[in-house]
Amino acid sequence: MISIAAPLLDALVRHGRLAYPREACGALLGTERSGRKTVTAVRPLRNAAVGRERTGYEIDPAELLALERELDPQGPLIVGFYHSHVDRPGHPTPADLEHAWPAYSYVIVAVEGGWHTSASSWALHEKRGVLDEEVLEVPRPAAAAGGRVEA
Amino acid sequence: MAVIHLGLPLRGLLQGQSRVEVEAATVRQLLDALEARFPGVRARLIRPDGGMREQVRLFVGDHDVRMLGGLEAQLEPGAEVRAIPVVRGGGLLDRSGRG
Repeated sequence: MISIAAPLLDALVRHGRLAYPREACGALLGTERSGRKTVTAVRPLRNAAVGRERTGYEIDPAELLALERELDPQGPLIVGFYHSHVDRPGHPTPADLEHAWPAYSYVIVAVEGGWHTSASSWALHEKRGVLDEEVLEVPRPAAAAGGRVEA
Repeated sequence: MAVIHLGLPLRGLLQGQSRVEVEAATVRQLLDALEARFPGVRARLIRPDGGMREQVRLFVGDHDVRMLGGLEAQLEPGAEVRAIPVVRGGGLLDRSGRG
């Protein structure tokens, strides 16, 4: 299960819409306890899949390395990633599954014609070799502890 | 002594730790020592034949170990090694058949 406060989820959706017709991607930062993740910040990242941004995404490992090194060991950690699908359903593709890691959440924002149609979160079930949809909780601002959208 | 940092997916194998200090002069020695303490970790980071997995990059400082000689890359005292997941995927093939 993953909890993403409404303003942070809105930021992911906005990123997907702004990137259209290219796929957007980024990292989800937060806490994890007994499999329950709470996202406290999102970090948009560059889609490094140069020349095929309409049909795929890739996060530059060097950019991810820089983010990992920047994080305070006592603070939020990377709990997952997000990306958008362009004029496609928000279900994981074989390419999404191929590079999925256990324990991370993978949020997919579907954008059709420049408009967001759905957001869902997926987690790898390693034994079955599938990405299962997980509960995506979206607390409203009054109930959420707030969050940070990073540049 | 070198330090290896591992992300959330591998912390379960490290009993919840995100960093482990290891006596090692090369990346290979580091992975061997890590495996001795936390069985199963090495197989997540490299293939059985010793090659690098496509799903992960190992960095020593700012440098990808593939650019430093692979598993024989030397580790200075205090070297920081990080396992960075390869994150990619996305939509499907476009109409021209290119992915």
